[in-house]
Amino acid sequence: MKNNLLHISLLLVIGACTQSPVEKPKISSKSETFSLPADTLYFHTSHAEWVAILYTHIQPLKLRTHYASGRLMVYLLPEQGGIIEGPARVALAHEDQVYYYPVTVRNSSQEPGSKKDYRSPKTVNPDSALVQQQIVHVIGPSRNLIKLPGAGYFREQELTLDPTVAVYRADAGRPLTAYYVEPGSCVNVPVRAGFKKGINSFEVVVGPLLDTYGNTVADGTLVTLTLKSGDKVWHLEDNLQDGKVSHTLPASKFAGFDIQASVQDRFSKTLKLTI
Amino acid sequence: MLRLFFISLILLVGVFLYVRVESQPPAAELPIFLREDTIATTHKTAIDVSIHSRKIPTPGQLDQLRNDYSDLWAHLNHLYATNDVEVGKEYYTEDWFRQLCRHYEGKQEAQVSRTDSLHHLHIMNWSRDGLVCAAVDSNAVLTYTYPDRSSQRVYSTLALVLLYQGDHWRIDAIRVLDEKEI
Repeated sequence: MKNNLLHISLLLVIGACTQSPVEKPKISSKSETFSLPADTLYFHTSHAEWVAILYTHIQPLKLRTHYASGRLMVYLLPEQGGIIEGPARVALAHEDQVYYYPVTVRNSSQEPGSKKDYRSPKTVNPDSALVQQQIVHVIGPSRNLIKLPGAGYFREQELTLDPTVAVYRADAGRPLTAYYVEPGSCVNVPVRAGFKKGINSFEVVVGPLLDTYGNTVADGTLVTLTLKSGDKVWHLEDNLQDGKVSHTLPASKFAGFDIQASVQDRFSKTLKLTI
Repeated sequence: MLRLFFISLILLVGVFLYVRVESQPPAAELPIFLREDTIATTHKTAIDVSIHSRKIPTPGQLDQLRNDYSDLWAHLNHLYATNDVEVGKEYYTEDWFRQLCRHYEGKQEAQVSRTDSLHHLHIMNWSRDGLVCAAVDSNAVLTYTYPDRSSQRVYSTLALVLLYQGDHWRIDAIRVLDEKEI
């Protein structure tokens, strides 16, 4: 009998300690799509103390709550910033009890996305190809991909570039999007030689060296001058500067020599150094 | 006398070096190559890749993409459960990481957890230099587990932009196209 009384009183104590479950708050909005932070989610509940978390597809973020006259308001502060849009879950937690509500969320402020224009290759040489791959997509400030005009989220095309040597930018405002059209190889090797009486020397000028598109060939290109007289052959090598190379050759030594300029596999006509 | 002087000099230098080494504060964070990424190494998922891009990635590039994509999902799932933005930052681009940090108000105790078991990654664009990949993960099988041990399996379709930075692929942007319960 004594034991039974003890058991009953124990059960009563346990019963008194057990909390009655809080009823699931009822969402009052008919739509499941919410634009944040403009929209507020309303729930009917008799309890004021709730913790609200929005699980976007990527991360959980804390929502703010305010309770007044049987209604719980759940909202995102504008300063919390944009969110990853799409299907999400709102979790309402009261102590150990958690309730979930499937929602679709989007950003209420439709800030313009930033266009990403990736080019490959970054450096183009007209000797090989002037074709460049372009991959384009638009990304919103909260890292949501934004649909491109037309259809789809991605666009890829092959661009034929202007052959003029320059540093270009895929996006004019972003130096990191720079790409480069480099000069190609020279097409012809023009050479001229004139006698300067005052210094008794020949002045030999090679250039201007231009590629097939009229761009000046790159500085530093090796230019070779070959001087021949009978069995004697001299080679003079110099690096191109602003499309030209010039040499002064003493007439006392080189008069009567044949001279020819060459750049890689391109050769100039042969001139005779005569006074 | 001279010997005593040299011995004390050596002792002095020894004590000086010992104090210098001991007084160095321990490194706050190990360099990335010394860290063990337990979240990524314990994660397993199946990734089926199909290529629709003009440029076809090499088998080596595809292997790396598969591995990095699996690791990325390990961290995305961890992030989803805990809001721990720091631990997976090696798989996020700078802009993506900044976006996560905007909503960081401390880590939270995991309530809902998510696991991924299957991905169908369709490569839509692959840059010639191998640094940009635009893809659609079609009908990825995800399982959400709630605190009451109930679970929900969904098919999720996502459009993603991945950039190759440092020595692996990182997520730069996403669009959740669809999610439907299985």
